[in-house]
Amino acid sequence: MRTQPRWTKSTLIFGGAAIWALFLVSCVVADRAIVAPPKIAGATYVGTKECAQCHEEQTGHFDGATHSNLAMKDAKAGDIGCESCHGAGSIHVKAGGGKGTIINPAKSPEACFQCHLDKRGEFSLPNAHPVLAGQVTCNDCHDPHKGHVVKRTGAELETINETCTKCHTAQKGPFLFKHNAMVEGCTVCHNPHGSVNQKMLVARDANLCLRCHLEHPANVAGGVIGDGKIVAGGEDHRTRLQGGTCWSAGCHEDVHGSNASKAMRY
Amino acid sequence: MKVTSFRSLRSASLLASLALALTAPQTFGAAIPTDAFPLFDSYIKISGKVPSVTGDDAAYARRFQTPANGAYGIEALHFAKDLDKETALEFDGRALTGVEDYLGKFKITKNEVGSLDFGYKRFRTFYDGIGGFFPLNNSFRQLGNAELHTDRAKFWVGAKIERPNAPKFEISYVNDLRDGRKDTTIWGDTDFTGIPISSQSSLNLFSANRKITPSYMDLNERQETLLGVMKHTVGNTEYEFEISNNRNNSRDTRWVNRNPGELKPFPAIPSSPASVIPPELANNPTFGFDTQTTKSTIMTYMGKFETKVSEKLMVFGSLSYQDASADIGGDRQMTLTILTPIGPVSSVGMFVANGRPPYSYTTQFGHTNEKILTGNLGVTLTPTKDLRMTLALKGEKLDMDGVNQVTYINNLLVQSTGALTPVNIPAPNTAKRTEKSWVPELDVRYTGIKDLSLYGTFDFRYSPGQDDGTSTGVTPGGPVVLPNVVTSSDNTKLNHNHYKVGANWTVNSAVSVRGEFFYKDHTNKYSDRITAGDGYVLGYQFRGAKFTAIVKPDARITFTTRFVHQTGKMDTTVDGALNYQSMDSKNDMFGETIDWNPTTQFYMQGNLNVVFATIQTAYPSAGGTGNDVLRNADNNYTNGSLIAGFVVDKNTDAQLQYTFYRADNYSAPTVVTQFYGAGVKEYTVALSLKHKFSDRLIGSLKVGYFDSKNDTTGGFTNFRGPMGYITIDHAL
Repeated sequence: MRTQPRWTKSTLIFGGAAIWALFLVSCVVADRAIVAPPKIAGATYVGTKECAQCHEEQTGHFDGATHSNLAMKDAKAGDIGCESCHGAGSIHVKAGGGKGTIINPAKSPEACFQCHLDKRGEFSLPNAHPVLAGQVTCNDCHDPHKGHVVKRTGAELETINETCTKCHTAQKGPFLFKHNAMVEGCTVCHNPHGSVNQKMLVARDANLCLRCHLEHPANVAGGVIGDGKIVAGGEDHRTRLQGGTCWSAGCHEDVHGSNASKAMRY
Repeated sequence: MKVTSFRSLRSASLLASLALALTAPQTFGAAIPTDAFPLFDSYIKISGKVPSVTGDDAAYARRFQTPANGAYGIEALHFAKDLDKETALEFDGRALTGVEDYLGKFKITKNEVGSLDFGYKRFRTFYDGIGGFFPLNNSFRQLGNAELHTDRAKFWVGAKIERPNAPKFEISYVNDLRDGRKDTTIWGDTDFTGIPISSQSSLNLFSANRKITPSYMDLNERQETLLGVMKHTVGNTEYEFEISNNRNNSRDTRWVNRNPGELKPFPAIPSSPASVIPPELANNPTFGFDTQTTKSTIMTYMGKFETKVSEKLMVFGSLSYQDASADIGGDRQMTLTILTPIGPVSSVGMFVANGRPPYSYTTQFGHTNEKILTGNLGVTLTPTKDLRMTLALKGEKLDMDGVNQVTYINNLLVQSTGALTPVNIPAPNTAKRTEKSWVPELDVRYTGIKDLSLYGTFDFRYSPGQDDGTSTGVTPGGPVVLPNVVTSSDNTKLNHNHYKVGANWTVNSAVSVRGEFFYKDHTNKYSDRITAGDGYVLGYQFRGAKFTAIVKPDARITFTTRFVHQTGKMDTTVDGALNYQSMDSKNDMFGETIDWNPTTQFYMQGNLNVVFATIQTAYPSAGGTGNDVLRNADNNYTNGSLIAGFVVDKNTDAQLQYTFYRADNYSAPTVVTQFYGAGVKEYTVALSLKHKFSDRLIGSLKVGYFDSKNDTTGGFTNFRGPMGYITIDHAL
């Protein structure tokens, strides 16, 4: 028989009292700071100029970076653009650099999560890139120090899909018969930060395709809105969808593009 | 039971919060960080993680990316040494069995000379092979392959020469590998879904021969990149030249199997006629694979410059040329077995007269070429110290052509005799594509108002092109199959516009707020087409806003709030037909993080995310029988975490951690097709202690409990149990 932990009033009272007593004792016997991640205990702000002395490569082009729109002077600490993300730098400067003395977003996403709360939530979902596991970092896809965080615009040579296809090479193509969704970008169908759906899909059902591949019912003979027809490609797909999603059951399987079927059947 | 536990936890949190708040002023500020745990310059960290899983091991492995039998080994090894005043040596390593996570990284740096580094990294991703759950008859499919995982590995070696006031050179070689077996959402067909099937097709309420079963893929991908970079600064101008050779070699195979006799009768189907699938319908075993191969070489040449003409003007530009050629291939062989008077007959691509062949083919030869020329030119103007503007224009020219000559493998079966006749069809496929894109951009930032930063980015992509192609398939043609040639010629015009404006306002030292509005408008037009029905005039618009507020009432507590709202609409049509709104989507995300450091010896951090997201397409406007296969795609969820850490004594820290995730979108009522939405409830709770045994030795112990319930799979993948995690850090 299955058992679950039982939380009773007594458990709360005695457990809470014990933890509280432990905490009070700790205040007396220990003389040490502890802070929530991603802060550096005991560190104070030193200002961006200090950072630039060693990290010119990161600070040199920051003025044109997306995040520089948010880097404003602090009333007390002055220009702390770098330390807004990397944490107060006094211990790092005093130590002459070194691991553990500064927040490195390339190692941990906690610095990014300070503002991007929604991304913490998405990376915590069952279907996400392994950022929380430390195998992929925010910096693998985004450069916070230079240019736009999402590459695409006229000032960048890169295209938006290059961020994905540098690792997902099999989806890169070019395919003889491209899927136009790939022109719109991988993120049209996948949320790279995480999703409730398998494969980080924004929808794990036919809606994924029907967003674009859906036509007025009148495009088949006698069709009108509300008569039960689901029209795509000039054909009613209702009975076909009974078998599963558009990309299952031998229908349109090569979703990223095909070299043999314009309809991306295989 | 669970409701009770959550109420209890909530009560406990409130009690603890109240008590801490009352006493915080007495303790805050009293401590000085003198007993901090040491930071080791060089260290080794050994760890072991052992869960005790009750339930589905594969689902646990996928969720926590750790096998159910745990993982242990060297979690981190760092060695740093100054060889002399100018030369530093660093080594990082990791070797965790179970999760098969390995790292060996070596780097030697000499100030004002350069560096050399090389290494190897590998990690494993676990999959659960979950198939569909069909509540109609409590039917659930899961891949039988016990080992579903892929490994990503990377070997690299690189060198940099960085002399002062001299050109900087960088050369590197990277070899990326990805192999293993993973599940895929591209499922095959089955008769296991419980959909009512009768031997008399006229009595079937639903399609009898297209159902779904989970499938898996074998991946074998390799990417090699040889890169050379030269950077130099002359006066006020930075130059960069880059040449790279990228080679890809991939062979990915998807397996599509359907086993006979999988029918699980739907209880509501009457027994007359018996609900048994006759062989000539859909219950024939099918075993097949679909292999796609690519072997490509991509040469890229790139040069860029950035010159500071004056304090108010900077000019930049770049030019890139990419030449990619690839050998492509496909091998798809679907083997069917059908009962005949002479016994079961199996063959690749087997079909009966007037039946549809299962699309088996093999590539004779295939090749693609793609050339992309890209260049941009821009200026950054700073007319005043508070105004910064970037104007840039990018142009792209893409030329692609390709051919893929395949042969369809078909075998006609005469079921009354068992005789087979090959009907192979040669099938050419060709494509030719050109695009000339123009991408202007305007980026503005103004900081002339005290404590306020205003910014905006406007970028457009105008991309006309021509897309021609010939695709050859096969179609039933009585006793044989016939080639089905589709020729297309599309004149394409893409207009993609993106707008973003925002503000960052530091209200005072305690409050800062940010707001950003965005709008995305895409229109794709296809004209001069010679084949109707396969292209769409597509227009869609997304608009929304992001708001972030950071409030610090005092130095001990910070509230960070973020709200993101987005709506989207799409319109589609085909040439000469009526417009139709094909999508209506809404997405609202609310996030809150509270950091509370009431004393220097205690912290609490809470995170909460609440998301309401829905995508609506034809449901419910399809109406009638159309809605038996449709529901909205709802992706609502809530997740969060609560972490509390405190100092136990001068050598010990403790941390309590609680995480949860809820999704309640599972739509079971659909009688046919695949499930809609996800329904999950899960939580983890853990207590960890970290203790300094000496100035060179730190250990930690974490014990916890996890519980995951998944309605999407009918509970067949639930798992729960305790876990333990122990680490030892030792200075080297």
